Amino acid sequence: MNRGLLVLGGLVIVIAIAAMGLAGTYNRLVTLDQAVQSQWAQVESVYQRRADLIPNLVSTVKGAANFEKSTYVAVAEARSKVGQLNLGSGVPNDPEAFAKFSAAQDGLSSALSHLLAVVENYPNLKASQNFADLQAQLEGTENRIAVERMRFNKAAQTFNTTRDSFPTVLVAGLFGARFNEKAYFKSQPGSETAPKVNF
Amino acid sequence: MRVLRGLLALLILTVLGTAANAAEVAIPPSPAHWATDTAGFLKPQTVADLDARLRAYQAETGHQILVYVAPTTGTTPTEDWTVRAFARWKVGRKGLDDGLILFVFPTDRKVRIEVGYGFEQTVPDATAARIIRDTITPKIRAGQPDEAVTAGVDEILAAVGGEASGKAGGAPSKVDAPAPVPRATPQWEPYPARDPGETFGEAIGILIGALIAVGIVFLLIKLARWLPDTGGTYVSSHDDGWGIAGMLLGSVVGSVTSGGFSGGGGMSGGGGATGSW
Repeated sequence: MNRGLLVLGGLVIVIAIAAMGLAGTYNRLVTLDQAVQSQWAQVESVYQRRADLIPNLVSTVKGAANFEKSTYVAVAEARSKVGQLNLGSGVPNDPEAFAKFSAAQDGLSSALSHLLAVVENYPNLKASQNFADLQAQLEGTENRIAVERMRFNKAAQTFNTTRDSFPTVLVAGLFGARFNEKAYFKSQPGSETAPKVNF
Repeated sequence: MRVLRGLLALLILTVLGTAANAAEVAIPPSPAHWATDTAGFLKPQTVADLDARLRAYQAETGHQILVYVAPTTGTTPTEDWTVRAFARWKVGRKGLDDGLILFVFPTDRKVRIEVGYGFEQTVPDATAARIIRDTITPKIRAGQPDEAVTAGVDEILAAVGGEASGKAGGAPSKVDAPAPVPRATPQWEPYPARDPGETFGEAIGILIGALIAVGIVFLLIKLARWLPDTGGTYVSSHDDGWGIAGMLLGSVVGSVTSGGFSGGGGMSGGGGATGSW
């Protein structure tokens, strides 16, 4: 009888320890996941900031005499593609949605940089105060995007490293898609000198 | 002795080697002053004036605004370097992120205003760009670096508001600094929250580090005492070894107690503007 009690007690202790370990690992994953999600919100907000600048930009260049129509139409189209993205939350957990998001945003990036290159041929437009301000805002926003993307990659990397290490990987597997590996941003075409993350 | 000297030589060579390899200019530790010029770009008097002014400005408003002049960012793009410097120095108060740094890199011919998250509404990119384009770079081109940076700071402080004794004339405007807008989005944490186990490991790491540091100091003391007696020729003075220890200690204590600049935990997200001349 004593022996039965002992075995039972031992079992309870083992289960308790296992549960505690599980809870600790789970909580750690939740914390790291939260860091990724909040950084994702930052990424979305800087991209939104850029999208908000586009209507003003388009109407400004439209006003310039004989401005190449195709360039600003391309920008407006790329922007509407970005606007139509309806990916909901959980994009970092979903490689497919993440790729869509990246592709749409990169499309807008390249349309924008083409437009800014064309503006070089319109010295009057370039010299106007209105355009100079817009350009400063666009440059600032592109820089913010680069910074927040870099920080997102860093947060995602921290999560993935923990998630894929043993024995956490076993726990992460128990929760299915909840703790999927996070996707990364790849360096934008034309910006191969991706900033080195070193915070 | 020979072994020790060999080791020392090796150590020195290693340090020199890494320094020479650094085409990439590492982010220096947080400056001890509000205005810093490591490039000899400004007159010492200008640096001292700006430093006193920005120190007083922080005392008055709580906002941390710095001027930092360094020769170059090396191979690193300006914006990348400055956002990392901002993150390392933690300019502005934690949560408010009400910091701003005016950078000048004379060798690169670049100016950058790096704006903390909390000042993104107060000093929008277009304002920062105008300050650089209309005030700073024209004066630098005209060969007036001191006037350029001082006028730049005038305009930055005017934009942020709240300087007690308006230097650019005008009645002293009492603190009307708009409260910086905290970010609506969640704070980005430079490091994810740690669990206690990690913190414990770190504490042990620090302890070991401290022990090693103490060991090195004692080794230095030993060396300094030893070398002259054993016929070493390159230590001429007969200071007792505590001279070195005192120096080391002094520099550590000095940096903590001098009341210089120290970052408040603020962050920037790449806002601001860059210009060149």
